[in-house]
Amino acid sequence: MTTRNNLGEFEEIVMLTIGVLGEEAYGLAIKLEIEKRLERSVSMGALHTGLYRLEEKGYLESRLGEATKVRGGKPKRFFRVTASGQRVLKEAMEDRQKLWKDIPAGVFSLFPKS
Amino acid sequence: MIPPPKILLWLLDRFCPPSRQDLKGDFLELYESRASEWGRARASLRFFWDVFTVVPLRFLMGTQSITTSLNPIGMIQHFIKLAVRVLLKNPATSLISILGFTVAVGCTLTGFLYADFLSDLDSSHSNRDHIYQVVSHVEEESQEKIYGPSPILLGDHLSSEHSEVAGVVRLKYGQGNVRLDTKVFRERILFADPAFLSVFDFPLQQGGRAVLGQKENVVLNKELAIKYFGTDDPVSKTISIKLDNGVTRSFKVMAIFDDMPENLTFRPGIVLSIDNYLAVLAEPVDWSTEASATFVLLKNNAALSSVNSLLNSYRETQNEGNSDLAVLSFELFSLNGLGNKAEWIDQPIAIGNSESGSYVIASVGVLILVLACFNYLNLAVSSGTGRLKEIAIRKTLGGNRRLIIFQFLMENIIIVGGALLLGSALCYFLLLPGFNAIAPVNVPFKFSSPERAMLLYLSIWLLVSLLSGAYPALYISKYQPSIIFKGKQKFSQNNYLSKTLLGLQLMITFTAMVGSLIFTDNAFYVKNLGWGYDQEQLFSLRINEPGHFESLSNISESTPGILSVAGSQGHIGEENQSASVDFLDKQFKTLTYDVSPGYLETLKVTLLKGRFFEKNKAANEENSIVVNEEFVEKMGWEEAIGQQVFFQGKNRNVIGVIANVRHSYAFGDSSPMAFTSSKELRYNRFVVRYDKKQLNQVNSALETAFYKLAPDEPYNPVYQNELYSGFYYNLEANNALTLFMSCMTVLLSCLGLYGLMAFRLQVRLKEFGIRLALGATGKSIIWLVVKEYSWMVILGLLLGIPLGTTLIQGAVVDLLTISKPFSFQPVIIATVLTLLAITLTVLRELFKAARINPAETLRSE
Repeated sequence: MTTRNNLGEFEEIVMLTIGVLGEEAYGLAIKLEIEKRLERSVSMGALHTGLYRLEEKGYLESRLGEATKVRGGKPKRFFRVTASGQRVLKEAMEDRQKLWKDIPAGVFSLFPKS
Repeated sequence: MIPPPKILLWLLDRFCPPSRQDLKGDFLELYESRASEWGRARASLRFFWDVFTVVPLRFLMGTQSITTSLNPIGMIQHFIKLAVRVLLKNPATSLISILGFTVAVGCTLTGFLYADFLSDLDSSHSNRDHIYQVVSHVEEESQEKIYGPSPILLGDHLSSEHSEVAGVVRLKYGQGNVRLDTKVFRERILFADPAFLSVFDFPLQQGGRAVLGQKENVVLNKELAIKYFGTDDPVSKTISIKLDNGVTRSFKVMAIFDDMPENLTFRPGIVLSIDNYLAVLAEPVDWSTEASATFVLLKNNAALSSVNSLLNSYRETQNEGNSDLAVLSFELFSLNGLGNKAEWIDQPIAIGNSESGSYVIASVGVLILVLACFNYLNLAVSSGTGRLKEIAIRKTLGGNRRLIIFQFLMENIIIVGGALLLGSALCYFLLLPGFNAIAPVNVPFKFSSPERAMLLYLSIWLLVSLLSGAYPALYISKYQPSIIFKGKQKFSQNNYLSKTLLGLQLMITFTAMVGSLIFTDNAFYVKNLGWGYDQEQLFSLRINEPGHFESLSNISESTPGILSVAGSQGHIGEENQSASVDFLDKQFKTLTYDVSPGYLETLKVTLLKGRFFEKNKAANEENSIVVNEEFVEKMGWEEAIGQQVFFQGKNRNVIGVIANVRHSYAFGDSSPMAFTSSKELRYNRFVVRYDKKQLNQVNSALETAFYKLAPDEPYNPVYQNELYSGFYYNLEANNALTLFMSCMTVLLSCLGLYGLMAFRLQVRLKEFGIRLALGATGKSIIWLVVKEYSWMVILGLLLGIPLGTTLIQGAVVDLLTISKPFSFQPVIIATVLTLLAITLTVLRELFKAARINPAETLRSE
């Protein structure tokens, strides 16, 4: 089996959300966006651990924003999905699409094939 | 910008990786939005929770940089894990330690809550620290004492002449009959200056704080408002009050007090403007007119000494104006702590509780905590010897002594922390409600300030952890690995410290048990002690006009259920007046009662010699007197009947001698008594002996008749057997408290004994196995174990019994006023009970020792 970088479900969601947020993707914004869109709660620790891991793997890159007076003078860290990150996301999506396509007609009665 | 509490920021700093400042920013931002949405408390709680979710990230990043010397979080985590494992491995020992600490913490907490409650009385008055009561040092019968009441004129001068005084409140207590349509109640009335409601912050449910400015207004507390008007709105209703000099006035209810805080030292019931007192009750007001108390409110920056010296400039005026009261000096007592000084003040207004009482309770709590520490100390030392190899390996692998001490202390901190939580629950659900049920106050589970609560919890946690853990930690960490691995480390065979501590505990246990059982014995004795007359099925009514006696007597004759009636001026137990009596050159004070013929028979006092008063109306008893035993003894008469004394303006012949009767709550207080029976009726009491089964009929018949005679007086039967109910209530409360405390000490020392024994057995398993294999019987093994511990029990017993007996004697006389002659019964029962508890505790372990299977204990390794 070839070495493929498997993405966790949570990691995938985080990366996609970063994509959704575009220029405004920093820690808290990502957390709130996921909570809003997926209606699940995300703990601060879990999110930042995930972000740290993804950055280590090279799927994300980050830059520190300007320090402002709000947030106790602490800067925001903005994330961006790197090229390899985008590739992994695409692969993941394609894998799923392939699986969906190959499901024989009539198996998923709720979603009949057109 | 809403910053989170400092402690949370500190916590975040510990957990958040230093290179991730942005994460901190996220936290702060989230906190701010949450705080504005939910409020700070909930946001802080979530913040606290969230901080811990960062821990994995911390580890993740921490492993990457090994630049720091040690990872303290990892080490502490390891220690916690190990502590939990050790606790779970020896469930019995852990349970004993935690249970012991829990009970002890519960008791200590209860004690401290009580002490804290008492130390912060009247905290609901926001001016508390600026309010002072004017008291005076007076000389009476060449003794100096502190006198609570003060001249009413002093208040006038203070309010008008001093710039540093912001307000003066004079209070005067009086009595009055409150009348509502047909019902009459006798109540205590407080006359107060208009500033009363603004200087003190008694909570108001309805009405304003200025209502006392109007002479016609009255303020009621909630209970009285409900008593008078039920569910109707009391405001603007009218009540009429007949003051004690007979003047009746109408008053309009203008304000109602709300529920009062528990920790007030005085609570008003009915408050009227003091003008009513000055205008109606006080004869021309001069320096001899007294207020029950004068309070001054000083301005924020007032110098106490200057007010004090100004106050004392009125001393001369007062002493000239009122020659009956020689004031040495005036002094200001702060309202803060005033209640706790009540026992030093003559006629105090603010009644708290004696400070010494709360110290006793708090120190008993601490004593129990110390006992629990002893237990833990013993257990930890003995159980630590079972972990020698672990210690040796730690040391070999580079752990130094400091770390091992730290590890053992950590385990202890966890146990004490758990016990602190459990103990608080115990206190909240069981001990405090129990305490409140028997104590005269209702102590809430609340500290006077959060800082105090923090301080108490932290100090209990750290002090107990250190006190009980330091020695075991030092002791266990001392071993050398080389000696342990060689197998040469001797297990502590003769741990004198453990045994001394256990012996000390047993001594305290015996002391407490013997003491409390002697107390119980005395309490039973006092409860069943006769009063010298039959106090059951007897009540008295206060009558204002002597003529009412005849009318009520006539009605009583036709009322079924009334066995006999009598009239009297003064009444045994309820109103004891005294007068002096002369016989030859002797003169002394005696209690005196002027009674109708039949009074002594109605009370069923015991006649020792002679006769009672003749009931026949024609008989002349003007010059007769009946006395009691004590009277005869004071006179030194051999034969009392026929002696003549000079009493109340007449020479009187003694016609009868009765046995001593109880006339106050104190049993030991026997005073001489004299009964006369004048023709001229001056009775103020109507005494009824009734049949219990027909009490309702008796009351309704008398009440109807009573209101016909005196519509402005309350019908208020005083049942003789309830005269000293407060005394009996106190007696039972104290009894319950001592019994509970001694049960706690028994429980704790049994726990300690059990724990120590279980471990010693563990250590001696092999020895017993060999003995049994070589032919020893189970019985001889039991004897071996018993021998090791019996001397401690015997020593504790020998020291504890005399100690308990002597210590309790003072308390018995103090609280019960009389003590029973010493008997061995309670001592024996206490000893047997304690020994029984101890035996039951160790029985299982003893049998375990006797039933050892040598094949199993000797097989291992």
